[in-house]
Amino acid sequence: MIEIHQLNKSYGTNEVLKAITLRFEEGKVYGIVGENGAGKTTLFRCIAELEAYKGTITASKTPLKDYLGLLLTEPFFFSKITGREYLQLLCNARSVEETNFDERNIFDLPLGQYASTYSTGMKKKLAILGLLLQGNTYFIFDEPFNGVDIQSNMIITEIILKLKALNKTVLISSHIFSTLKDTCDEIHLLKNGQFEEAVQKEQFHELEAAMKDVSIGNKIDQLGLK
Amino acid sequence: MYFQLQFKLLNRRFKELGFEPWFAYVLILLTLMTLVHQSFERYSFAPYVFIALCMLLQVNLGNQKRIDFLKTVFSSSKFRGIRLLENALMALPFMIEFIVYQKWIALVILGLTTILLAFINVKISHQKTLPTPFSKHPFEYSVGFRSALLLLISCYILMGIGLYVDNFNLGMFSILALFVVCMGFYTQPEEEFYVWIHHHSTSTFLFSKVKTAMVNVCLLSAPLVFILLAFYPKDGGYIAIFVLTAFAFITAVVLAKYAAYPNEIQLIQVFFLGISIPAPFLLLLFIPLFYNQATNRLKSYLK
Repeated sequence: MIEIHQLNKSYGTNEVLKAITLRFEEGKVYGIVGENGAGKTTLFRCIAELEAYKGTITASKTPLKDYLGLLLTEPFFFSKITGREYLQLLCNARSVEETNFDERNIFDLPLGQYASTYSTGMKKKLAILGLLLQGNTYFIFDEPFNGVDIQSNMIITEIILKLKALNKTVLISSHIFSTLKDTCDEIHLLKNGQFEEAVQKEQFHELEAAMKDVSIGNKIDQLGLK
Repeated sequence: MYFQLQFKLLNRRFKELGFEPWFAYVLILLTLMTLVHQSFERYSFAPYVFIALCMLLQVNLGNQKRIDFLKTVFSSSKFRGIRLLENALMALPFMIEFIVYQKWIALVILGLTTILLAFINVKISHQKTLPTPFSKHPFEYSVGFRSALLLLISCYILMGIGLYVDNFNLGMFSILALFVVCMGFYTQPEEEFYVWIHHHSTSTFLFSKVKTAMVNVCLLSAPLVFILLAFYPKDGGYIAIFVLTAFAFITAVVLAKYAAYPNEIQLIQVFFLGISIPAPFLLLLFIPLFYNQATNRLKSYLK
């Protein structure tokens, strides 16, 4: 469980997150949606304690960051580190004894190659694999499906469902609504630094329709395509 | 315009490191002049070491990614002109030294290599992975070993030359150079994610970083130290003190990196390390100081 109470975050006079209060339960998958700049990444960074903030964030396992797997939108890799060494680094950081990386390499990544030479999708898969090997309790996946091929998208979806079954808490941000529909129990709509509404699984189709309406409207007609 | 931009970028880089650009240029020039003077006086092969150093820098300018960028931006004639000019600018300080010290053969060789390297693009294969003995404890030494392999090999070659010409000081210099190369692995701060992922306390984190640095530099330098000891057993005490001091320096550099984190090592830390070179006992003061600063800096990333 992760509980956020009255979370405020500002950069100078720019208030990015405003009095956010929210509870993420164990064994549930939460989708966080919002336009670019809505504050999703800032929220994730606050939960990860990578940002100073006002308010409180508590978790059933503390310190939260030591049980948290954080997938950044664009994971960074050193120029001359192999995929296998990256996994080793992540395991060492959490004192996890893992020796058989090849067996757990379900994405068939070329672990002997430098990670920096991987494609965007391969990098994302390597980063996800590293977080899974760490044996975390909480997961934040910021755009896990971006740049990943269809087959791997299906695997990632199944992984998320497995994490849910294992009683983990998972937060996902994605711009691909269908991926959220397949994995989430609840979707929270973040707008101007505040959560506007929480939508349960049964109302996902209504949320999707409402989002389409707001985002698209008559913009396509405005293009005047002929 | 291109060179003006490069000049601006270079100045910005010096400022980020905490140096006023004019001061950095004077410092580099003085260091080069001192090094040249000292080495030309003592070693006949010194000009060739400087040619190799200059070529290394020029090869770096000719890496494929850079070349691809220049080719897409400039016409082919301008591109070739830029490549020739930037190689020449890189070689200029070395060439002036060769002229001053009348090293005419070295001057001709450097002139030829400067022109030649402007026409050669170094396609560094990113697909081919260089094996490293440091894979179990990434990342500094696994990345550093691959990036600086040529320099590390050069240290071993220098030791070989030192033994061949029966020059104890050159042997010592090769060990010193190897330690300096390894210290270079700690000059750039890593992305905050790579500190944040650790579940250790700040002290355990720092201890583990220092321990890894010590063990790995030990692995790399041990053959050099033992060979030197075997050839000059009567200087064993001197070698031991020298190596212990080098270990103290590498500890200080690792801690200095995190004392400035997430920024690059600042001028003040460089200054403290610099004044410790003639007076290494000062490290007894600076190592705890860097440790305290690093602990404070890492508090926001580690619990």
